[in-house]
Amino acid sequence: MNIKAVQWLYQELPGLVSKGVLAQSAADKLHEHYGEIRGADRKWFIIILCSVLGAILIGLGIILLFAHNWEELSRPARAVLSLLPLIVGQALAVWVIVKRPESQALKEGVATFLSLMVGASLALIAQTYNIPNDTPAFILTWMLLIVPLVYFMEATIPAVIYVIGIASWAGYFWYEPLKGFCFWPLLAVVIPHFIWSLKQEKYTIRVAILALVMAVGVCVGAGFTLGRTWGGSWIVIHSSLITLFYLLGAWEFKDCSTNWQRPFQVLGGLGIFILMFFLTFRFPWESITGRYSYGVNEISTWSAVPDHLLTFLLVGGALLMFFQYAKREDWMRTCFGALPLLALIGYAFCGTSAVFPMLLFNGYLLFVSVFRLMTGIRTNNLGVVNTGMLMLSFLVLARFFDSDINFIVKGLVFIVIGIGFLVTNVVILRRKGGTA
Amino acid sequence: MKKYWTLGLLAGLMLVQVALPVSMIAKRETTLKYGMAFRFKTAPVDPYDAFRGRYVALRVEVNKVNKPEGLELKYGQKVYAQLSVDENGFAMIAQVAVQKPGRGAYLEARAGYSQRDEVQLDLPIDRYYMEEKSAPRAEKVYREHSVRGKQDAYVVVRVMDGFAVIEGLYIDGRKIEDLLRAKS
Repeated sequence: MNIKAVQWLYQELPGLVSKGVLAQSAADKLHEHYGEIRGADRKWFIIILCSVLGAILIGLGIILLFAHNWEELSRPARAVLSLLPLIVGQALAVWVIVKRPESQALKEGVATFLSLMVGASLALIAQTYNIPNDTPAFILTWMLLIVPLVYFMEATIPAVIYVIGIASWAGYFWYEPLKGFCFWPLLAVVIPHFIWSLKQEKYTIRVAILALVMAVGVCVGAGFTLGRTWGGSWIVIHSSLITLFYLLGAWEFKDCSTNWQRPFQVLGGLGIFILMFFLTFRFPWESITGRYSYGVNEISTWSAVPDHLLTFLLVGGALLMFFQYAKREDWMRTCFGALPLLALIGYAFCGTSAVFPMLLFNGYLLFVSVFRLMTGIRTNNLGVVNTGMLMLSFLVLARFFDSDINFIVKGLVFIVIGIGFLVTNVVILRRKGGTA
Repeated sequence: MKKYWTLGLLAGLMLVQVALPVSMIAKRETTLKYGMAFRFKTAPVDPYDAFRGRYVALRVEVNKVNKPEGLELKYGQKVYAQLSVDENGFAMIAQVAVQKPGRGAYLEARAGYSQRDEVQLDLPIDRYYMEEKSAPRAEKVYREHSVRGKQDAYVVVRVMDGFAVIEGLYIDGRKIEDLLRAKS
């Protein structure tokens, strides 16, 4: 439910009833249908934020106090002490579940605190007993001990900590692809919570933060674990991932009114543009043709199977979504969603020449930015016009710095682009009836 | 009803959350109590890599061992280092095996780089934690006493069933904490 829209509707209803546009019974029915809006949504957000921040600060403070490493205390005393923060966190968790099960803020705060204290306890034991340095084992143990809290306490911050944790854990297994691949099943553990929170309150910032961390975490994890045997396949894999975020986000969050509520779509859109722009240069393609190649790690065929399967699934999924949008004639999203297809074509050809894929992407970015610009002008949407202009200027400027063109011409192009921006904005504002 | 389920599951999780650290503690306490003590001479440390945080970075001197003939070890492979004691009373690695040795003291380790018939072992003895103020001082003393020519630093390690727990870092026969206390 779009809270802002419903708020607006509720504001309008009395006026509509008094003017006779709407019958009182219809207005009541609308009220009944949408129900009470949680007007205190923002207040709730602040309370949750404060409780989480408080929990994080206290948790970190306790960790620092213990990190001092109190030499005066005997070893058994320190062993008991290292369990103390954990027990306190657990006691708080039980208290919240028994006494305040309805308080989301308390649950979130206490779950965050307990998550940090589990890590603190493990670190303290490592300190007391001089446990050898094994960072990935430490991270994984910690993450597995806290992830059930996500479900038992319906808390999102532990899920955020977990996603960050497993993404960094995957980074330790560059030379052991099968172990690193466990990132994906580990990630799947929090997906039900993510879906649940989407259904609960799609439009709150809590979900937005989790979506943001998930999107970034997945991209990082994919970088560590996918396409390891195909040099340069990151181009296709990351194109597909980002496009999937963009198109799935557009699908799932289509009723949202602000960008903050569409993290997948915003991140995906931005990612698509960055990748598109990056691929208009020659060097990423050249690095694949072997001129700058640093060689691919020797990885046996069998251990690469899960990697290959997931890669095919991702790329296939992204292409499928792209065709879906093309079928529905949603041309703007189809344009953006074509990235994996073009990346695939470029990747197929880059073995013979880096020039063709480079030209392909220059043409692609030119087409998409002009298309966006035109769509914006046609629909009088300033935001769309300006992003289109911005994309176009990036392309033009980048090609300018690429080639040997003298400063006078470069300067003139800057001025022309600047004037273009201003004129388009003025024209559209005029057309909208505003004063420019 | 749902509350009780949640509480039950939460209780289960908490049990695991406590059981794991407790088992970590118990395993180490048992090793410290019943494990065989070995003195490992520490090697000169690279001063640039020596101090990372509030611990003293340790490197055990005797970390190389001859490979049995025909034994191929991959980098990072789990191996067992059988321990013995040299004429000066310091620990040394008698041999390396892939199978768990049936008797005698041994340490679980990772194989490092191999050179012809020799393999370097990554022993689970790499850091000694200290109080935040003492650690840099300890590091300095440790470094002074583990340079070539003046090597009288060693760690006492308790070993049981392949598992090692550091008992203390000794310089010139004295525990480092006592040495620092005497110096200040």
